[in-house]
Amino acid sequence: MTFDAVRAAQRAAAPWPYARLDVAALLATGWRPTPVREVVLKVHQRCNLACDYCYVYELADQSWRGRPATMSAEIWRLTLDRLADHVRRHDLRSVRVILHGGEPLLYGRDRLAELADAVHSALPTTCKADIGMQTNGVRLDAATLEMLRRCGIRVGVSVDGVEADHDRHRRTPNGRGSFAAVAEGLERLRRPENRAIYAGILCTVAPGTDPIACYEQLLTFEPPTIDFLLPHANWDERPERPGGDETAYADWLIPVFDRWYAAAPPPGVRIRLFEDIMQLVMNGNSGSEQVGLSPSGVVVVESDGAIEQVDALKSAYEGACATGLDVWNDDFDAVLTDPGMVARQIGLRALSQTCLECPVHRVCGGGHYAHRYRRGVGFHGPSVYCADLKKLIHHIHTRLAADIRRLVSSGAS
Amino acid sequence: MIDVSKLPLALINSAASEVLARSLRQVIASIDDPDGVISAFQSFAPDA
Repeated sequence: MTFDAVRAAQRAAAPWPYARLDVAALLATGWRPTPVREVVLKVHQRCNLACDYCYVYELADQSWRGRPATMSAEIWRLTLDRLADHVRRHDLRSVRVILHGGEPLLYGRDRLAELADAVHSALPTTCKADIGMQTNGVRLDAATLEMLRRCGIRVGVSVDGVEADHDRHRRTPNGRGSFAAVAEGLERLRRPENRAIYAGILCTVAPGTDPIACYEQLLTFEPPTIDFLLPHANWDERPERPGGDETAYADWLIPVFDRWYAAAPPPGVRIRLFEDIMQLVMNGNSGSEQVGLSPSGVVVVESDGAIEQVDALKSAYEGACATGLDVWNDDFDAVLTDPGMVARQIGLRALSQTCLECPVHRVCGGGHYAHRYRRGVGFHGPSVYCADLKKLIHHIHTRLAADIRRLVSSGAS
Repeated sequence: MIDVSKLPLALINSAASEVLARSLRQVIASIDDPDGVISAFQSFAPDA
């Protein structure tokens, strides 16, 4: 699809930002884009699991069907050249390259090692490059871990709690659960020799399951970090709410927060969603997509070389991630003026009036951009998880405010 | 919003909850680095 055709399709599907956000006017006010700080490489488009909620395969966008199964070395080399140019142009001191899919370990150990080595050699020595990988964990065998360790690739693993809950969603294509294989992989990953490359666990919230059982299960894998992800949904494809509970997701997360906050087990597992909300409540920043108003510096390069926006948008509509740009013809500066990219970098200016009138808007930041989507409107409105976010933020705020008051009075006395 | 910018470091470190103490330290550190940028790598968390 040509650049103009992509923009026309985006304007029809999401009037905001594509028809209504005036990027030229923003630039005229002196606003400047935040450079790309993270490149997600879709090295393998296929997966050895068939999770029922996967935004790549199971939701609105089916563009994976038309792309090569694997990324050629030519494309990742071009991408790294583009990134190196971008680093030099903006004098960046650190960037992150995330190996993603599908399932990135299907790309093969040798090819992943070659790519990781090339990341470091492509970038200027003044720029630190972190390499990460999000995997389903099924193929974390000893040889793979040795390669990941040698290449300094940090590993995040997706696990959805206890075996029965995990296996309800995260199955192989023939319907078998994947928990046992993932647990074996995590058993290896948490060994002392692999600790430095163990980034953490990503868990999708499933109301109707036992949150404390889930949390305790995740703790058995000794992750340095956990992140709880709200399932990708929007106003047209709404999230499951068992029993019609309007705050089912907050009601699931709050007991986990209370347990973690009261007694995070040593050496202090971190929960990114909760830490982000705590910091935002205290006037700090967020580094994640789920809450806060920080600018997004993330681009995705697909296996065919297309430069796209974050792929969680695939949950909204077919082509939602598209920019019409690619690494063959375009540098990363070109993507920074795409209205979709701009919308995720302008903080308060991207929020609807409804959000701006809400007392928690600086903390929730309107929620995950993908969760704001409504057909005919686009991404300009509250998150479909608005009530959940409000309840969770209120709970965390109340708890923190009380403890900080106590802390201050103990210092005064 | 809760303003913690004037809390002394010694007091922060004495917080009963280690989670709270770490979060306070991160907020204080971020005052000098206001340009946080989002990461899509969900398993990554910045250093405490």
